[in-house]
Parts: sequence; structure tokens; C-alpha cells
Amino acid sequence: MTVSNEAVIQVEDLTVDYLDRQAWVNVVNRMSFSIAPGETLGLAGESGCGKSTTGFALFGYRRPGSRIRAGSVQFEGLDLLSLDERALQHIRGAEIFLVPQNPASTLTPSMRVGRQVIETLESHKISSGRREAEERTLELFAQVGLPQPGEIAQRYPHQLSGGQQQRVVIAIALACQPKLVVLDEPTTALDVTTQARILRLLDRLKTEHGMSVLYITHNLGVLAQICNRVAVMYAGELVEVAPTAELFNNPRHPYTRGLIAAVPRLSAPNEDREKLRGLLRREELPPGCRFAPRCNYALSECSTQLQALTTVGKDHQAACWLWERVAEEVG
Amino acid sequence: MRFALRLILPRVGLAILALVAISLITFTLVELLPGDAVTRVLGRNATPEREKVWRERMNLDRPPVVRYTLWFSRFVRGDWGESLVSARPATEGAPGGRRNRAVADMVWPRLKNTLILAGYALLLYIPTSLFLGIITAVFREQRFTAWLSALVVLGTAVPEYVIGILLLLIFAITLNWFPPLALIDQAESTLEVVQMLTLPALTLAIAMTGIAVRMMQGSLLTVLDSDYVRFATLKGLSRRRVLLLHALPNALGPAVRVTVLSIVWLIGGVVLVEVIFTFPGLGMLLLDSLRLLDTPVILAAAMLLSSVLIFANLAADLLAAFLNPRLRTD
Ligand SMILES: Nc1ncnc2c1ncn2[C@@H]1O[C@H](COP(=O)(O)OP(=O)(O)O)[C@@H](O)[C@H]1O
Ligand code: SF4
Ligand SMILES: [Mg+2]
Repeated sequence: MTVSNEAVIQVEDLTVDYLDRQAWVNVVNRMSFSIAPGETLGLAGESGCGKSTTGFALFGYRRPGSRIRAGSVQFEGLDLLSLDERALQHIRGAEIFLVPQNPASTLTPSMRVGRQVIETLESHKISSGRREAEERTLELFAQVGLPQPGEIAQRYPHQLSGGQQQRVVIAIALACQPKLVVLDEPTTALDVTTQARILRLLDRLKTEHGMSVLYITHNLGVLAQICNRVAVMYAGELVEVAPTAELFNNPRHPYTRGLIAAVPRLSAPNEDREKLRGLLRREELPPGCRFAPRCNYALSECSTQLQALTTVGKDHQAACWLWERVAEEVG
Repeated sequence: MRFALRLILPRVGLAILALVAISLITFTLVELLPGDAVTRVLGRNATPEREKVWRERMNLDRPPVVRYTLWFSRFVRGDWGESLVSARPATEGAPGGRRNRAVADMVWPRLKNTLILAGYALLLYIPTSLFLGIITAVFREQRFTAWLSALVVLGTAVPEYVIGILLLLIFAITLNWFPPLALIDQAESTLEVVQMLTLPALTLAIAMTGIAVRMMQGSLLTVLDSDYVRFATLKGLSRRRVLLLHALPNALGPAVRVTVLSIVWLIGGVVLVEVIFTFPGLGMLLLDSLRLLDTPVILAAAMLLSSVLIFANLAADLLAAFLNPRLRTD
């Protein structure tokens, strides 16, 4: 796979807050990253750390009750965060596509699934005329491995299995041929066998169509197999970014080490030091390193010392001022 | 159809149980009140001999258990008995001896009146709250929505009798646009009926709008925040299309449910409004017969009011189920 330098999408300084009982609480803080054409970037972090919020921002979308306080999302020379709804309509779906976490709640319950594909084709003028859209829908269903496409198209979402629902979503993505697909934990809600099938399908489509992918997950293990690069996020901030092999072989941030230690296949048996303790508590974040309350390497200065991504190796950045010591100690 | 039966049958069973319980509780409460119909009717003219004669005539000398059982066995066979107090109009008087009015003749016309009033109020507040609910949900982040919501909350906070008396003072007494008494049985034309009904219906509607708007808004907000509405938006559909084809159809079920359920509150409010406007409805009848401890009338009125509530609940569930493709297509 060729990964060129010209980024498909470039996120700069993204900062999002949400309203909690009359007060703004920060959920994503100064995130910057970019994705190259054909590249698959993994975004990992515990549940609630702001992954979906970040993913939604790539569509110029924020959840109701939240605000994008700062930042820009550059896509084809446009800042998506400053476009109006009407302009965004042409980009959403057509250029950037979301495959959400829970297929069971993604499709509109009151509409037959075929219609949900057709309306997307028509909205983006991908096919001319209802007949063509209908035929195209059946082709797409066949392509993503749905049996009896004609019959499936007539069904309501609840009449499909989780795997079939996710295939319908992927069929819509295929139809749109977007440049970038945001996969927000696309298999978390599915059983293991279905997970593997959907992953294979996604991988095939990615290679066939050369799309860029942002793969969001709380499970680092999944990313090892499918990503070119991995970005690790903690409490709304990026703490480490590196090519996949580099990240797994030489993790520099204590949080990344903890995440890797939590994946049975990847970790050596005796890594007690790296085990993650406690939970992310958004109300008790220190002004300095947000990971300090849970960090096994923390010094007292950590909780007041602001951390930012710095280069720690080739294409490798981490946000820990003690990264060299961490590396040495572990060897 | 099978699922409809599966939905209805257990509920009908429960409803019947509830009605029996309500009749038992009502009967007991009336028994516990001091005095009985005889003391209420005779008042100061009571002497022990007279009371005895009247009690025998009214069957009130029997023990309560016997009276309840008797009432119950006749009630389920459709014989609702006679009022203890109200005399039959002279023209219908049976020759030789005093006969009282049949409870059914007293109760049904009153129920009709109450339902007309409730229906009028429903006609006023359902479209209004549907509209306001959609507006406040869709434009929730706009400033005018905050004002609108505050106004709605205010409407809910003011009790019915304050609204009723205010409307009475302004539109009936001062401006003289509507009659102050809603004696629709004495109205001479339909127009007059509508005129009489307007203020009480408006009172109910104002009190109900607050509750209904919040319920509508709530059900639509849940849908607007759903994964599928976000997915539809991020597929690149227009706002209009998302709202009309993805959000509203799925908010409809809950909204209908809410509407029908609001009838429960409505019926509660009706009783109060009937008193304010001297409206000849079931609520007034219930109140009057409570004053006279006229047990058969009280029981019948209570059963009818409860049936309306239970039926509204059942209808709400059924409608919501029919509007939900998940249930409809199984
Ligand atoms: N309206 C809102 N918009 C964005 N985030 C919100 C909102 N309300 C609450 N949150 C909180 O923001 C945090 C980040 O959520 P999310 O981005 O979904 O995390 P993740 O996808 O990593 O699990 C969560 O803890 C969530 O509870
Ligand atoms: S800066 Fe300190 S607290 Fe933060 S990750 Fe590094 S060692 Fe841990
Ligand atoms: Mg998420």
C-alpha cells in the first residue's frame, strides 16, 4: 500500500466541550492528527475518553449539548468546522462515511432497509432514477454478502441479525465510495465470528477501493492487524502516535504500555508494573498530565507539568516528559 | 392480529380486577364517612322512628357486606339500581308509592357531557402541544426555545382553578363574551353549547398544554438524540428529510401514547373545572352524590370515571404498539 504525504484529512487543535449541569466540561482537548490517502489510522483509548466525539468532528458534527470550542478539520481545502449544514450535506456520506458502533440502533426502525440505501444514493445523485437506485441497492447487498438481496431490502432493521445490519451499513458506504471511512468500533456489538467476518469484509473493501480509514476502538489488539499507524488517546488528549509495529514494540507512554499489557496476546506474562489501575475520572483531572493519578511512573511534578506530544523516535511521538526514563527502566 | 390479542387479553383481565378493587374501596370509604343517606336527607327533621322507616325503605338496615354483595351482583348484570335520594321526575312517577331515579339514567348523560368537554379540550391542546413540542425539540439550542419552555412551565405551575377563575373574570364577567355558567343541558342551540363549553375547555387546555408539550418534547428529543438520526444526518441527508422521514415517524408512537395518557390527567382536571363552571358532568354528579352519601350513584360514577382512565391507558399501549414496526411485523 502506498501512503503519500498529502493528507486526506488534517485535524488541528480540535477542542470539544459538553454541557453538564450548566457548566462546560472538556471532552476533547487540542487533538491534532492527519490521515494519508489509503492509510488506516487506529484511534485507541478507554471508553469515554472522547473517541466518538473526535470521530464525529470529522463530519463537522457535534452532539447536541456540546460545542466545538477550537480547532479546524481540513478536508480538500475546506475547514469542515466552519461550513454550514447545507455545504456539509454534500461531504457527509459522499466523501466521509461513518460506520457506527451499534448496528442495531444505526438504521432507522420505521424504514425498510432498502429504502435507507436508496435515499442515500438519491441524495448524493449517485444513481439517476428510482429504478437504477433499486438495482444498484441489490448489487451492493450482494457485494457485501447479504443472501437474497431482494428479500432483505424489503425488511425492517429489526428483522435482520446484527451482522446483516452492519452489512447494510457497509453497503451504503460502498455505494458512496467515500475517500475516508470512520469506523467507530464497528464490531464491538457483534459476536466473535461475525466480528471476524465483518473485519475481513472491511479489509477487502479498503484494499479494493483504496479508501483511508479511521478505525476507532477501545481494543488495541484489533488495531495490531489492520492499521498502518496507531494514535492513543487518554481523557480527550493524544498521548502517543506511532506506526503500528513501532508502537507495539517500543511503547513510550505509560498509558500505552498499560493498554498493551491489557491485551493478553500482546503482553508478556509478568508486567504488573504496567497494569492499568483505577478508572478515568473526568471530574478529577490534574492541570498537568491528565494520566498522573493513574500513572505508575508519575513524579510529583507530573500533575502540574503540562504535557504535549514530542518526537521520541522516527514518526513516533509521545506526551510524557519522562519517556526516556520509562524506556530505560523497562529496557 | 395475534399480537394485538396477546397485548389486550391480560390487560383486560387486570382492568376488571382493578375495577372490582375500586368499587370495594369506594364503598368502604363511603361507609366510613359519618352518617348515611338518611341522615343527610332528613337533616334536622330526623327522629329515630323516621330514620328507621327510611332506612328500611332504602335497604340501609342491612349489614354493609350484604349491601355490597347485592349491589355487585346486580351491577354486573347491568342493573345499576336506583338513587337513594333523587326522586324520579313527576311525569315518570310510578303510580302508588315513591320511586327513585335509576342510576343509569343519571350517570350516562353526565358522562356524555364530561366526554364532550374533555374532547373539546383535547381538540384545543393536542395540536398546540404537538406543534410546541416539535418546535422546542428541533430548535432546542435557540434562545426563543428557552422562553417558550419557561412559558409552558408557567402554564403547568398555575393550578386549574386559578386559570379557570381568571378566565371567568376576564371573558365572562368583564368582557361578557361567554356565559359564566356552563349549563349546557339548558342551552337552546349548538352555538350556545359551544359558547358555554369554551371557557371550561380552554381552562383545561391551558393546564394540559404544559404537561403535553413536555411529554411530546421528551419523546422527540429521545429520537433526535438517537443513533439512527445521527447516522441519517451523517449520510448527508437534508435536515428536512432527517426530521420528516427518520425522526418524526419514530416519535409518533410515543407521542400518541403520551396524548392518550394525558387523558388521565385531563379527567382529573375535568372534575375541578366542572365545579368552577357549574358544568353538569360526571365530576359534579360525583361530588353532589358524595355530599348526599348516595352510594349507588357514587359507585356508578366512580366506575365510569375509572373505566375511562383504564380504557385510555389500554388504548395508549395499543396505538403505540400498532405504530411500532417492531411489533407490527412480528
Ligand atoms: N452532549 C455530549 N457531547 C459529547 N460528549 C458528551 C456529551 N454528554 C456527555 N458526554 C461525555 O463525553 C465523554 C466522551 O464520550 P465519547 O466521545 O462517546 O467517548 P468514547 O467514544 O471514547 O467512548 C463521555 O464520558 C460522555 O459521557
Ligand atoms: S508525565 Fe508523568 S504522569 Fe504523565 S505519563 Fe509521564 S510519567 Fe506518567
Ligand atoms: Mg464511542
